[in-house]
Amino acid sequence: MKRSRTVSLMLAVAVGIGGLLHLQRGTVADVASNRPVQASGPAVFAAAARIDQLVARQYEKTGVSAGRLTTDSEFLKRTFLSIVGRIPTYEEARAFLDSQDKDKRSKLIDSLLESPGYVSNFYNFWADLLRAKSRIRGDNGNFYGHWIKDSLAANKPYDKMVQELLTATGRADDNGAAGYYLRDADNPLDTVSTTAQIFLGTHIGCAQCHDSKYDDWTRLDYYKFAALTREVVTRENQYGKELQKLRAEAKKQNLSSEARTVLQQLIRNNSYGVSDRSGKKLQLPKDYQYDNGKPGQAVQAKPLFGSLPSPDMGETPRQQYARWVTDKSNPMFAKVIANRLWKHATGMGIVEPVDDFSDSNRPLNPELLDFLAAEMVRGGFDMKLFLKKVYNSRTYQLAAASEDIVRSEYKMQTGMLQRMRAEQVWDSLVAIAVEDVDTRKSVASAAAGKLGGYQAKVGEYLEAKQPEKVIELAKQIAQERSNRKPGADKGAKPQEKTGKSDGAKQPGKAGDRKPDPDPASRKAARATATMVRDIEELKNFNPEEKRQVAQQLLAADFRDMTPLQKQAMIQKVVAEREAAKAGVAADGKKKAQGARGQGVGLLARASELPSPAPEGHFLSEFGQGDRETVNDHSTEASVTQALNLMNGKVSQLLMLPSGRLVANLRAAPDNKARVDVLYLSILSRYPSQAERSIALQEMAQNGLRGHTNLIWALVNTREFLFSK
Amino acid sequence: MDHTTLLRSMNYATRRSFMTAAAKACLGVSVLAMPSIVRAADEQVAAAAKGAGKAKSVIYLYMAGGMSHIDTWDPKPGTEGAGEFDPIKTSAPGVMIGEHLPLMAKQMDQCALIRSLNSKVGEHQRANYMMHTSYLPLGTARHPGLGPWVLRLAGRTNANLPGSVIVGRGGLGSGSGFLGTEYEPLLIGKAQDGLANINRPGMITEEQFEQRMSLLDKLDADFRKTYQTRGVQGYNEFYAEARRMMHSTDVEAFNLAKEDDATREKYGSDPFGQGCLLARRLVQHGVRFVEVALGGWDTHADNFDRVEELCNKLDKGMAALIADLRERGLLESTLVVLTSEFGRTPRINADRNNGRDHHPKAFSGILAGGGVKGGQVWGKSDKAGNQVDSDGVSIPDFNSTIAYALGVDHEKKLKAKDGRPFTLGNEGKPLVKLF
Repeated sequence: MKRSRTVSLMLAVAVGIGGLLHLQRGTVADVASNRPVQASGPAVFAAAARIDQLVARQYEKTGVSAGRLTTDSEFLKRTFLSIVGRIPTYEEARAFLDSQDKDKRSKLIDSLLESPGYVSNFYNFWADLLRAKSRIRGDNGNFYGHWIKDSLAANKPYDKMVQELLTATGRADDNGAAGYYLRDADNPLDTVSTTAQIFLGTHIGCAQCHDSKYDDWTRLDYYKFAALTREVVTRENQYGKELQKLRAEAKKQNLSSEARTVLQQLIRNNSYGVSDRSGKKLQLPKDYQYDNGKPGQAVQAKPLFGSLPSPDMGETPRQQYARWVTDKSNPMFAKVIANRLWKHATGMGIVEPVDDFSDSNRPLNPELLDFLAAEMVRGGFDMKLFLKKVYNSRTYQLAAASEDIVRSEYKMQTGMLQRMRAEQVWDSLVAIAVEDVDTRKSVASAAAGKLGGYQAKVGEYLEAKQPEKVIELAKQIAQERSNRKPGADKGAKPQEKTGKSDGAKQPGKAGDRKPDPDPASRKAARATATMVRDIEELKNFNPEEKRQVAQQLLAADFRDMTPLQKQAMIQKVVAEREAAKAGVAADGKKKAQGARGQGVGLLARASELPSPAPEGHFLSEFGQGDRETVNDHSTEASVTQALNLMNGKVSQLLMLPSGRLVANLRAAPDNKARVDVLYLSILSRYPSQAERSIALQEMAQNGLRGHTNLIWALVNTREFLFSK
Repeated sequence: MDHTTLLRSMNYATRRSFMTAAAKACLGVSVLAMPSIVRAADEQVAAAAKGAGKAKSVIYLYMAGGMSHIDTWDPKPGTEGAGEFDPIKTSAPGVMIGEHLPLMAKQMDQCALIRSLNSKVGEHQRANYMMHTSYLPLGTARHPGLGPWVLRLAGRTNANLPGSVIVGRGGLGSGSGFLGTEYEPLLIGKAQDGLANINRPGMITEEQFEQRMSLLDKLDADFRKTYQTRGVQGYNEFYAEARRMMHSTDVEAFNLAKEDDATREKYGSDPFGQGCLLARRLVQHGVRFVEVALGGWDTHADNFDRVEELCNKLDKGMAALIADLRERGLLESTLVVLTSEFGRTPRINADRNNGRDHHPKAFSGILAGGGVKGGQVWGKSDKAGNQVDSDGVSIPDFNSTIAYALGVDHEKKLKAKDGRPFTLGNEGKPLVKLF
């Protein structure tokens, strides 16, 4: 019988746990989290077996039988996508498929969960859920994004993560979790509705305006729930008065437009923070229409169900509320996240939609849901531990159904064919193209780091009541920025098209130019300019692009390289930039140079690009969530996607001479091995006999062009876009 | 005789074989999406009795952010919130509009101006979604936007081009929702750039491209045969459609360079103006629904400076569009719609350099062409432009009227994935007197 076989399989795996297999090269060694890889132990396998048992019970009841297990290559692609959000590299695929270790599946799960790709992938998951954008109240969204990544890297327990979000206070640079309330500073009731939706799987949004027809929430219920966060204030912080003085002072001074812009940004970035104003009330709205309350009447706070825990000493109402949401005894809290993560792994929630846990919406398998929720609690809300249990189950490892799954008849007897999410498609292409895909940082995240430094400094000055110092700082930053522009330096190329080759000639700005106080940065700026001038390959780049490339080269110790290395490095950087640009379609290109698109110019994982990517970017074409509505991503097809993959530059990027794929092809001894490289790199599997002969024939017939034809063809297969 | 009229005169079988034959003749490729087109055309015939049905296409001009009705279409001279603009006379007797719409003033005899739009939704996302779908957003079902609705109910007339196109940043609810990818609008970021990636890679000849395609089909054959899910078939269909488009001369519709400079100039050189021009070209090629968005109307601060600037773009683009359609004899078969998610408050915020805030209680919209009688005003807001005084028009009413113009059934129920039935009109009543 299938059930007992499953259990014994799991036991066998549990017994076989041995040393750790490092399947990934390089990048895994410098994992962001320093913890060693935790091997799945007997408790994990026991839980996985229990999952299978609960699923099998439904088969028995309904006479359904389970489908086959995934093949190794199916498991490989699915698991890489699910845990690290991209397909495996050629080396990773080969290592796994060639391994004879009978525990290799479990070991792969363990190792991927500890790799930096986990953070990148689940950042996308959380950014979609929390609607985390890079631009929230100025640049504050970046801090929120970093907080999400840091929380994931530290494997912060889910309940603690939610606690920190719901009780966040302070400025975003001090506490990124403040982004949770800053996100909707204009419309705090949005935070109320989405909190219920995200963490409690409950839709109360309708009841914001009227008693809900579909479930039992009344408008009064809604406002009572909203009143739990009534004391939250977002539009001011402790420096309100200082900022006022600062604005007044700035008006008096004759600042350059650049310095003024910087100052405005600094002020805006520093104008928000989350705090609680004790005694603040929430009133029923003016158009309140029911007999159980009057417009303008103060609302008494009450949770959606159950009752609040008794207040601790000195606790704010919000802290009390956060304890209610995240309490182990809250019937929804653990279930909702267990269900979300289950869906993430298997493609279908036990409850669907995942944020509608109403009574009328029956779970596919109530016992399984209860068990998973209990496991979530038992494991201390450790999300990685929870995922290990799921990934090690036979249920997760079942092969995908070849037809659409009809939910009403679905007993989890098969896996589900899934199109890669937008970020997964992009990240997979990047993984085929470049080295160190999981650890590259984009210009955008570097800029956010710099900004963080300023933010702290501005905070200090405001604290010390020294607004004039903030103005000085703004001037200084503006100065540094203009120095960094190649055109501003005397040593720059005279024929630069900007027409600003000599800053001193510009009226209005001349008075602002003082000698740079920092000789080192001046020297660096000069060096950058020289480097830009000397590189032939960059002649078609605009000054800003040149500057960015030059910095990238400097950072890579370009000066110490041999001429050959230099040549290779330049080719690589140029190719990457060209390719990254390819991700931006006509419309996005312009925007990419604006604030929102900052950093799109680098080929890096979606998590390192602005959130969301600009319109027209590859990511938005493939359905990346807009981060305006909870979980708004899409995996549906479109004409523009097909055109992009067929004719866009993205598939050309894979064929670039300096790319990773081409390097692997070059290193392969013969055409047979090259076909393997192509298949393992793009489809994460070895070719079949028939496919191999088609590919060999193509190579023989068309030589080099045959290679590019094959790359093009494989990237355009449905098989590439979907995970079995 | 255009496609639709021709289709109506045939019975189902004839229509089907006609469409298939026509497609084969034009394209030399098989047409996967054809059955649904024919099915939809059938439903349209059935629905034709329901509405005026003169319109074949819709050009939907969406003013994102909330257009100040008082400063544009519903001036309130002499009131406290009148603002900085004076009203001007128009070609429609007795109808006055804001002074920064002088070109549109000359076209008002072609337009039905609605001054009594209203809703209860004052938040961008939700209001924007509702304007496009007739419903408030739900967690359980994603409603289709107007374009996909129309496409589903009226069908396509040109199999080489997508039936629904969005130029600029589309509305939040403009996607295909539960209708599925077949009806997803094509997005054009910027009109001037045309359709991205429509040409095969530079170094590749036609023949080589075809070789690649056949290599692709060979290598993917097993997968496509094994996995016949909706998702995979969606890609099969869209690849086929993309190839049809690549080979079709109809793609020229996306190329604004085919227009002479004088025409391009007339529409205004900004993306909105050029978007209006692109919309006209697309409609000429049989595209059903084109949305052109103009953003920036969220004028909480600097309302008057910004509205003036936006009006210049709107005025040029929309007036040129109506005039051009008329000259070409296309206005009868093209419904031009102008709308926004809400209006803006009569109250002026002096402390934010004279801004106006969100105001869903009364705002304005325009319908022109497609059988709508020009030169009329429907509904009235009160003295200050604060509330609707008479003949209020809800968003569902407004959208039902668009359906009516097309002869599309606004009460036709279609089920979302969760089994709940929805309609294009969400119980709205079309304003039949406008026709």
